Amino acid sequence: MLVDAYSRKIFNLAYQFSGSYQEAEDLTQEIFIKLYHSLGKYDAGKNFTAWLLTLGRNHLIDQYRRTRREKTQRDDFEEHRFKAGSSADPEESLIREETRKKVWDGLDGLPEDMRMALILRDIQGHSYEEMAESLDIPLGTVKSRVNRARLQLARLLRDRQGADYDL
Amino acid sequence: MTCDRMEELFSAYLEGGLEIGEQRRFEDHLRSCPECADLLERMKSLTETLAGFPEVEVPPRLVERLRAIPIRRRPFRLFTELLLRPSLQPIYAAAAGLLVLVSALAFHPDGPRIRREIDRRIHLGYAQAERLVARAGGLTGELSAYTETTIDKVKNLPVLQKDTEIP
Repeated sequence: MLVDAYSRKIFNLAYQFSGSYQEAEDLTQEIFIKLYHSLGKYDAGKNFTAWLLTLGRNHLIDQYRRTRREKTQRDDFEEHRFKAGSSADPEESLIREETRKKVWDGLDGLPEDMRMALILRDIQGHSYEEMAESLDIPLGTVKSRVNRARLQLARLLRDRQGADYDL
Repeated sequence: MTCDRMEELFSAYLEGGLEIGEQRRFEDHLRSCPECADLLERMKSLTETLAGFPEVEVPPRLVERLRAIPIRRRPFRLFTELLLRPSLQPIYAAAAGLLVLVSALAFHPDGPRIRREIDRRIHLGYAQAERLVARAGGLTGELSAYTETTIDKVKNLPVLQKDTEIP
């Protein structure tokens, strides 16, 4: 069933992109409604996951552009139930959580296309080829976009934390 | 190699995508440029942090909502899919054409004259068809008579008579 197979992937994409748990629920539901309406247009010869990713990505970016003025900020990092991997060293865990929080907040400082590219590549671990297919852009453009997004976020975090900031 | 060119290659370097010569020039620059080295280190830490973001669990209430979508929408979808089947399109086109014709006849200012003309043409056509049928009937009779005559002639051929002596 589609819900069992893809709800986790879509919900995580929506959550990582929007930064809001509640909003991610609504976005996931909207994407599934769109999916059920668009199943007739799916070409069986194509990669279903890439097709679904395209549909989800388009919906997320469209909704973001429509509502960006109403948006405030991402959920606090503590609220969103990431189950961080357990570490024997409490200090190490604390540093890692602090770093994650900064990066999580920093994602909101990226333009939507760059944020999506970074989520697909670095958080979800898609290959550049898969991204080129689902974003419908040339491979070179995907690589360049990911690189620019990483650079922009690295600079943003450096500026926010000052010279002493250290990931 | 300039710093701008270096930054374009950061991701390729981190992912092991540079050719040997380019990688050597890249590392030469890194040794002589603390700014590039610092930014590259930040990008490396950033990608590692993003890759370590765990997935969030889909809330059970959302799964319930997603499972309810197709059940609620299926009757509507089936009905619309039935109506929008491509095989019905010629019928819709013919119906639309007929509707236009009927509307033109009903509301045209010269409607009565047009209807009389159509009646006249229909009657003419009918009469012509009757004449053709009558002519075809006569032709059928002639053909039957000709066929019978031909069969008689063939039967009476001398070679087919039993008592004919063959020289």
